[in-house]
This record gives sequence, structure tokens and C-alpha cells, in this order.
Amino acid sequence: MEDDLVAAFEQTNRVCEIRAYVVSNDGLEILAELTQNQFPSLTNLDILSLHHRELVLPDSFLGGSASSLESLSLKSTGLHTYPSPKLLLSATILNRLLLEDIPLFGHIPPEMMIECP
Amino acid sequence: MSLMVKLGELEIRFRYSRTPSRPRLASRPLPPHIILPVLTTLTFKGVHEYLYHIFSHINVPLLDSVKIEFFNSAVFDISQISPFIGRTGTFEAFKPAHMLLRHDLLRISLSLQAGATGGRTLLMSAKCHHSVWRLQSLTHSYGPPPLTNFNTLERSWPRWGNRMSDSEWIQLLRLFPALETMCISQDLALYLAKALKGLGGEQVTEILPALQYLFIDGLAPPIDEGVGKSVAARQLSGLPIVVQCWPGENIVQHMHQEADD
Repeated sequence: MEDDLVAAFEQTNRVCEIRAYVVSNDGLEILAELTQNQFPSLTNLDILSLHHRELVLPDSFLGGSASSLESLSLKSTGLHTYPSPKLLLSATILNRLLLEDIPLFGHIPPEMMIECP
Repeated sequence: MSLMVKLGELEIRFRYSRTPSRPRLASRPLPPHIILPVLTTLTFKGVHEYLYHIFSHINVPLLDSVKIEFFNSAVFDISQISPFIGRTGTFEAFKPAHMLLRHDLLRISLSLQAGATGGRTLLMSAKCHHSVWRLQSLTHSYGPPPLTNFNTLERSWPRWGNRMSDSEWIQLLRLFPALETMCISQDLALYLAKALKGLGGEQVTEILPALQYLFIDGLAPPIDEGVGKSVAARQLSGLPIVVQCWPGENIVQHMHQEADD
């Protein structure tokens, strides 16, 4: 892993935007590893998954809290990318939610979309 | 979404499939209505059941921009869409309305004039692979009021137009009794001119009675003949139309800008 990248993610209080383009298993693991802490200044999160496996963002993603998140964009060209319900529940000031390229066979049931979780 | 009280923009896009699977709808009771009090922009692309199911349980009082593209139906059930695009919104108030046919995509845009109403817009699209009769079902689902301001039928006619008979073209034109302005390609004009040529004078005036402007992207003798007969018949009936050569995209761009304003 690039040292600069690790160093940047260690600045948890200063990170305000994350754009991740996931193309492999390694990429998933790196993303999961780098984002286990809370990022209290994070306002924009944009994840594009080019990986042909389902990507479920774990409960530990962002330390399980996205209290400052204003914009969340998830796009998957492979299988679906799911935010964890715990994460969404903490995103109480979310202003913009984009779920793009959702495969029909693996979609989020409407009632889950409404209730969340 | 029930806790996302600050959500202003929601975009849900499913991956397109010609044979989309139906969504797994709830087998347990859905929650009571939730309110997204500041949601103003909704974009949805997918199967209509999903959208209807979600928005039958959500109130969005400030929604003013809606873009919908359905994969599996050209029939927009306005009764299910209108409640959530605004409490006072009736489709009679939407104008101008535009319709675009571009390859396999049929798109209708409706907008409220900016001003007291806030310029609310509704853009609906459907994939339209097979025949014009999906178009017919769509226009019927609107009923007469929304079509009173329907004013653009655009170029890039889908390929299934090649298989239509003269009578089917006439039926198609009858779907738009309030059409005021029509912009069409030369190919489409040839089909229509041929179909109109076979009609009597009275029949010609019954078709597109509100039409005032016809723009064609290239006038040729066969078109002149067919359209000329219609123009003359309408002139005699006190329903004159202006026929002009359409100078490319300008007129369409102008109309799109007008719709955006």
C-alpha cells in the first residue's frame, strides 16, 4: 500500500471527501482497512465498484458512523454495492443519495429502501 | 430513508435489462407513510412496480424535479405518480409538454412555467423497442388533459416505423389532437405525406386539428404533394398551418430551452 495513502487516511479529522474506485479483491481489502476509523469531517463519499463481486460495506466502514456525510454515491458495474444499514442510520444529514447501476436481480427490496434498515 | 430528513436529492438507477425481473415486493406490512420534507429532486430508472411501491409510502411535499425512465412499461400511471410530485400538481397545469422519439427511447417532458409554481418539471421516458402501440398506450394513460399542450414530435424515428401501414400512421397522428408544433425528419415526413395523400379533405382537417407549425428537415416533391394537400384543405377549413424547412437542430434546441425555462 502506498505510504502516502495510508498517511492521508490517518488524518481522520481532516478527510472531507473519499472517492474510491474498486477494481479487485485487493482493492476491497485496502478500502476496508483504510476506512475502519471514524471520519468526523467526511461530507462526500463516492464509491465506484468495477469489481464483479458483491461489495457490502461492513459495519466497521467509517467506524460505523457517517454523521457528517452529506453526499453518498455508490455505483457498481458488477454486482451490487450495499451500504451497511448501520452506516446509513448514522447519516442523518445526508442531502444527496445516488445508487447507480443496481443489478435488477440483486436489488434492494423497496421496503428496505424505505425503512433502512 | 425514514431518517433522512435532510435528503434533497435521490437518484436510484437500476441496470437496464430488456427483460427485467420483477422486484420482490414486501410480504410484510410496510411502514406508515414517511415524509422527506426537503427532497426536491428525484431520478429513477427501473421497473415501474418499484417506484410505485416506494412512493406509495413516501410524502415529498417539495419535490419539483422528477426524471423517470421505465424499462418495462410505456404506460405511465399518472394516478400513481401525481400524488408524490406535488400536492397541488395536476397535469393539466403542466406546459409546455414535449415529446422526443430518439431511436428506442421515448421521452416526454412536462414542466410548470417558472413563477408562482416554482417551475416544477416532470420528465418521463420509456424504452420503446417494439411498436408504436406502446406509444398509443402511453398517450391513453395520460388522458386528454396532459396532451393539450403536447407540441413536439421529434426526428430520429425508431426503426419500427418502417413497418407501419398508412392507416397506422393516421392512427398515430390521431393520438395528438392538441399538437401545435411538429418537427420531423424527412423520412418521417415521407411516411406521413403518403398516408395523408390517401385521405379526403374533411379527414385531413380532423387530424392534428391544433397544429400550427410543421417543420421538416428537408422538403422533397413527394412530401410537398402529400403535405400540400393537407395544407390546402386546412386553409379552406380555417385551420391554416405554416410549413417550413427545418434548419437542423436549432428549432429543437430552441424548444428544449423553452421547456427548461
